[in-house]
Amino acid sequence: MPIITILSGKGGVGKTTLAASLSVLFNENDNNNISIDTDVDAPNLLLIMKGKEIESRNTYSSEKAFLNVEKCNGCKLCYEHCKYDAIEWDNDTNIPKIDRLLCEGCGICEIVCPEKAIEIRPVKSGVIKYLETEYGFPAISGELEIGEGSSGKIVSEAKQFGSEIANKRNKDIIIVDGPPGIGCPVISSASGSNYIILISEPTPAAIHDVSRALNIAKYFCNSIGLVINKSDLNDKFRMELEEFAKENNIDFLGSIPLDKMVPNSITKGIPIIKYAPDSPASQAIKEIFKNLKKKLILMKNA
Amino acid sequence: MSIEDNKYSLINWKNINIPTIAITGGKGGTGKTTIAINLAFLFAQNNNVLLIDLDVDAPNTAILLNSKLKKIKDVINFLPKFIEDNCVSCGLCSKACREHAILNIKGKAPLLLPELCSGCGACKLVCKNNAIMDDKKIFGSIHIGKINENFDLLVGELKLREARSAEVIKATKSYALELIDKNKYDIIIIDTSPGAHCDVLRALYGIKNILCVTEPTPFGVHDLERIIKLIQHIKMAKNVKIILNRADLVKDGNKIIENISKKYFVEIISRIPIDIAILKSYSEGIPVVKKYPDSPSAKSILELYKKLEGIICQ
Repeated sequence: MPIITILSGKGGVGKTTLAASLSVLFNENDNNNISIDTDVDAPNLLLIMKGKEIESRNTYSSEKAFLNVEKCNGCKLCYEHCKYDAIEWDNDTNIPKIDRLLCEGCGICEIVCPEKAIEIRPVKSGVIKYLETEYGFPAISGELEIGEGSSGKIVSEAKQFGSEIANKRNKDIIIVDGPPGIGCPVISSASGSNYIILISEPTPAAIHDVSRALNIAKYFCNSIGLVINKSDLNDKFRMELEEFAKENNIDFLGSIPLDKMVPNSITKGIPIIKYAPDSPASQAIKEIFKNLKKKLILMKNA
Repeated sequence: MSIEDNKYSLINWKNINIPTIAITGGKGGTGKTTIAINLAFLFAQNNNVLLIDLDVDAPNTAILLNSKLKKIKDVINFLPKFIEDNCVSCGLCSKACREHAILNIKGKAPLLLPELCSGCGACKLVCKNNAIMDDKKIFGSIHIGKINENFDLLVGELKLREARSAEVIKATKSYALELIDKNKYDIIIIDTSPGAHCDVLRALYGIKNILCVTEPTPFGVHDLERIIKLIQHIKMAKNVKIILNRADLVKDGNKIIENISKKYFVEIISRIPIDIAILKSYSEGIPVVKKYPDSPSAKSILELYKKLEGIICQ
C-alpha cells in the first residue's frame, strides 16, 4: 500500500491545495485512495471538501501532573526538581501550583514526592475523525488540543486509524497532507512513507525550508519528488528549485503557476481541480498527477 | 535549584519590563516573518530592537533581512549513559521513563533509544546504583546577527532530524533574557512558527502584545481561531490584535475574519493589501518599508507601526 506524503518545510506554500486535488484525481481514476490530514495543529484538508463524519476517536497521548493537596506536606521537592518551569511555589498556602500548560508529564515530581501527593495522568490530547467525503473517498483528520505537545503521537495514531480504514475499504493508496516544519509531527508523518512530495515556491525562504525538509524526507524515504507552486513568481528562484531537484537527484513532478482561481476555490471550499478544472493550476496538477502515477508504477515494478 | 539559577528561565518572561510584541497567526505562510522584520526595522529607527526568531523548524528572518548569522552556542540536553558494571538490571529507569526511551535487558545495561529521550533525567533520579552518568545530546543551536546599530537578531534553529522544537525555543528565550540583561533594548519582537501547539505556546509565554497575522480564507479563519483560543488560554497577553494580510485576496473575504474578531473581541488592527512590492522585497532580502516605502503594503505597515507605538507606550 503506497503512502504518499506531502511536506514543504515552510507553511502556506500549497500542501493542502495539492493534497485535496490529488486525492480527487486518484479517486476519479482508480477509486483506490484514502487521505489523511496529519497537520494536526492546523488541519485544513476537510475545509475544502465536505465530509460526513463516520467515527471519532479521542486520543490521550499527553500526560500531566496532578496534585492531591491533602497529601502535600509542603516540602518543595517537586518545585526544586521540575526542569520545565511547570511548578510555581505558592508561599501563602505553601503548596505547589502546577502550570498545566508548561507541564510535560515527565513524572519527576511524582518520583520525588515523599507523600505520593502527585500523580501523572493521561489527558485528552486530541481527536481523530474518520469522514466520508462528498467525492466518495474516505478521509482521516487529526486535530490536536490547543497548546498540546504530543503531536507526533497523534500523527501516528491518525496514520494507524487511516491504515485500518484503508484495509476495511480496500483502498491501496494513502495520501498524507503533512504539517509544516521539520519537527516532531513532520518526522512522524514522513516515517513509513513510500513517496514524499516536497512542495515549495520560488522564494529564498521557501527554498531554505524545503532543503531542510528534504533532509528529513531522505532519511525516511528513497523516492522523493518536487513540485514548484506559484512557479512564475520569480524566474531566478524557480530555476534554483529545478536545479535543487537535479542536484539532489529527486524527481521533478511539475510546476503550478500563480492562479487567482486557487484562493477563490479555497474560499468556496472546493478543491481547485473541481472548482475550475480548466484553470492553469488545475491543468498543472493533472500533469503532476500523471507524472506521479508513472513514478508509482515504476516503483511497483522495481 | 535556587531562585538565582532560574533567573533566565522561561517563566521569567512573565516579569519582563521591556515592551514585547509577538507575531503569530496559526496558519503558515500568511506573512508573519514579513511583518516581524518590517516592524523591527521601523522600531529600530528610534529604538534598540531585539528580534527573536522562534520558528526554529524553519527560521527565515535572517534570509528576509539578508543577514549573516554567527553561532553562539548549541542547545544541549541531558542524555543518560549507562555504566554496565554498576547496573543490576532492576528496571527502575525503564519504568520511570515516560517517553519509553529505555528498554530493560536482563543481565545487561539497558538499551537507550536516543531519538525518544526528552532529556528529563527521571532515569538518573531513580537509579540506586550510580549506573547512569551524564551524556549530552544536541537538539539545536542559537545564532546572532547584527542588522544595524540599533537592531539585533537572535535565531533559534532546530537540528535536522531532531524532534524537540520546544527545547530549542526555551533555550533561545533563556539566552534572550541574558542578552536583555546585558544590552539596553527598548523593544523585543518575537516571530513564531505556524500552529497553536506547545512550541507556539512557549514562544508566546509571558508576551504582553500579540499580533495574529492571517489571510481571508477558510484556512486562515480556522487556524486564527485556534491561535486566539491558545492566547486566551495562556491568559498573559494584554493586547491581542489581528492583522489581515492579503486583505483583498478574495471577494468578501474580510467578513469571515470580522466574524472571528467579533466572536473573540479581538480587533483587526491592520489590513495589508496584496502588493507586488512586498513579494519583490521578500526575494531581495530588504524590508518593504525600506526598499519600497511608497508601496501600498509599506504604507499599511507604517500605519500599523504607528498604532503599535501608541499601544505599547501605554
